[in-house]
Amino acid sequence: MARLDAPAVVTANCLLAGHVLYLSETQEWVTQLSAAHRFDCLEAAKVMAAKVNDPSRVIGVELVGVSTSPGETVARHYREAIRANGPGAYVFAPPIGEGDVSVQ
Amino acid sequence: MYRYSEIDRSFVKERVCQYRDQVSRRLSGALTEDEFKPLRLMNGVYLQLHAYMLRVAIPYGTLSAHQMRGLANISERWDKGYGHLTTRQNIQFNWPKLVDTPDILNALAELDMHAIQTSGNTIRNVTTDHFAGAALDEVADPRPYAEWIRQWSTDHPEFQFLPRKFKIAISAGRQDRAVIKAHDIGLRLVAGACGPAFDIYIGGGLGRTPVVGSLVFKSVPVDRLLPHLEGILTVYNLAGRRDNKYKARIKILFQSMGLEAFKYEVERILPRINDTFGDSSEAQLESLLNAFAIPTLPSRDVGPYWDAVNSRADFKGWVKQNVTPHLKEGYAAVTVSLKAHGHAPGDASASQMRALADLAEQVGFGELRVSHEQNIVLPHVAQSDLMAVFDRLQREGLATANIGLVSDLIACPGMDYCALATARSIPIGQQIALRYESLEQELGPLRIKISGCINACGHHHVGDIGILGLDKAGVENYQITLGGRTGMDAAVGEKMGPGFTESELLLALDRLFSAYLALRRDSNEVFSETVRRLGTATFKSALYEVADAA
Repeated sequence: MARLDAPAVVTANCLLAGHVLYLSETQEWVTQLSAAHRFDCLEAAKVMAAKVNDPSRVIGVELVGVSTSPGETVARHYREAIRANGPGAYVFAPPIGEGDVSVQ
Repeated sequence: MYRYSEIDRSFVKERVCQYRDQVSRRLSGALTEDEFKPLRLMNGVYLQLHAYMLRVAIPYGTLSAHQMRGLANISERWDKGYGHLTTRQNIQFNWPKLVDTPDILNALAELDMHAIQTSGNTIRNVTTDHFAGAALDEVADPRPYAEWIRQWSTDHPEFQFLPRKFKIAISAGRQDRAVIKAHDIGLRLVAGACGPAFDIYIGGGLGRTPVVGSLVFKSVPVDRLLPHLEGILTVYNLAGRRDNKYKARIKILFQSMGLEAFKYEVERILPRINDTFGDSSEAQLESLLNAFAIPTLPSRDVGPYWDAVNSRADFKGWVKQNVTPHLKEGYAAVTVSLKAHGHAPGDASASQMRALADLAEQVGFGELRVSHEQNIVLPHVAQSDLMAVFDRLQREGLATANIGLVSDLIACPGMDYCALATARSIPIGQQIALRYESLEQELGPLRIKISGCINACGHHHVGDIGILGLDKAGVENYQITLGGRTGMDAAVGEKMGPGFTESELLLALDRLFSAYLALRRDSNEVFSETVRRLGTATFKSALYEVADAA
């Protein structure tokens, strides 16, 4: 596991449905990474993660690193990007990434 | 096909009740997540990246039409309207809600199905040849023995907490279609001096330490099979490592002890074990042999079939690629590709599942198989019905004529779904299938197997081309192995060198395929033969030639 650097967000999975959740600025669990509260201080994030770790609602509360782009919160690692955006495996629809074949 | 007995039904129903209570206690707070997790896993319920996942056992890959239709209904009622067929011949639902899982398990129980032992350190679903009972080259149908092992291993009190998970496969043909040498125990049904017997291979496996299994017991009589399995499992259970999960599989123990020492330990306890298996076990097998009797296959006029083959090129192409000769003249086994170009390998929609159930009922004697290559097989179809089957499959998007070709690739769920994965595999498979669609007939038989992590659920070690997705400093990186193969001469592929990024990977495959087309003797020499003849070094040069030039 890569070292965690700030900024970070608090994430978890919903106990009932399993879907991905992020902690918002108002300490509510939301489904959009873009609505997550970004912590610039890791210690503060850890304190908050412990505070909101309610096992009757969420599983696997953890911190994940996000980009420092101003005005937007974007996952730093592709694993978290997949968690945030959903599977890239396209079910019954064409995928992206077709290219010109150069087999001779 | 085997039908549940009342004992089976009551056992499965009882487990559903227990599980319902466990979920209820978790939701009420009476159970912590740490207490609940092993309980849900014992019932096949995982938490993956985006949702829970339910893995449903399909014993030895055999399904009735009724069960297939029931799985379609479950996928629509509690999931997103599709299921994913796995390399263990199981089906996974990727989106169930925890609160719904007791109801899903109850619905499965109504179908005589369950999810028990699809997770955990226990004996997993026993797999076998998807053409069992229809194959021209088999000694006998291996499925009664697979069912015998299923009954022995399900809820076996000694083997619920093994050092690590345990996988058994059985093959009965001259050609091994169940990858038995890559299993903890591989069983090969052979013609013994006094009837069917088993060659027992031990210590195979893929994962981070890929090993080809070794033949340890030769021509074991059928009535000694279960005692031998119990002996092997007992030695493993007692001596297998529990201090390090990466060293806990039987292959590690087997290698550290050596073949003779391991065999000695099993033989030392066999007399005691033999005494515990009485006549009832053999009577049980006798009953199973009857349950798996091949349906009566009436003779049919094959004239219309040949007319269609000669008049429709698309049908002829599909027959050539997807239809396998049957032991009964005038019949065939149909492999239905779940690898339409660009689709997620192994996914089937609810409507497709229903169409397959319809076909099984109408022309397939009510039976379907899931192959470890993530396709569906109709094992007994009259040649005179093949045209109608093809037409229906075309309407359902299931008539892709690509079995054994580049796009018929295996891919584990990868990071799109799996919490253990280190890279995506399904989208890589989709891109490969699309990229080489127009070239795959020219490339000929070629097995690509993709795993999204070192656990190797995509069997990459035994692919003609294996692709392993890893995380390299925060970027997906794909390592290529060449020269892997399944069958009785199974071999672990050779890692070629540094991995490729996603975009580099496709260009590397371009170079690899170009090299093959240039170097093969003629169009009859398939990729794996050219690699064996020339060695992997030649192809390694092709893979990295641009990097070297730079």
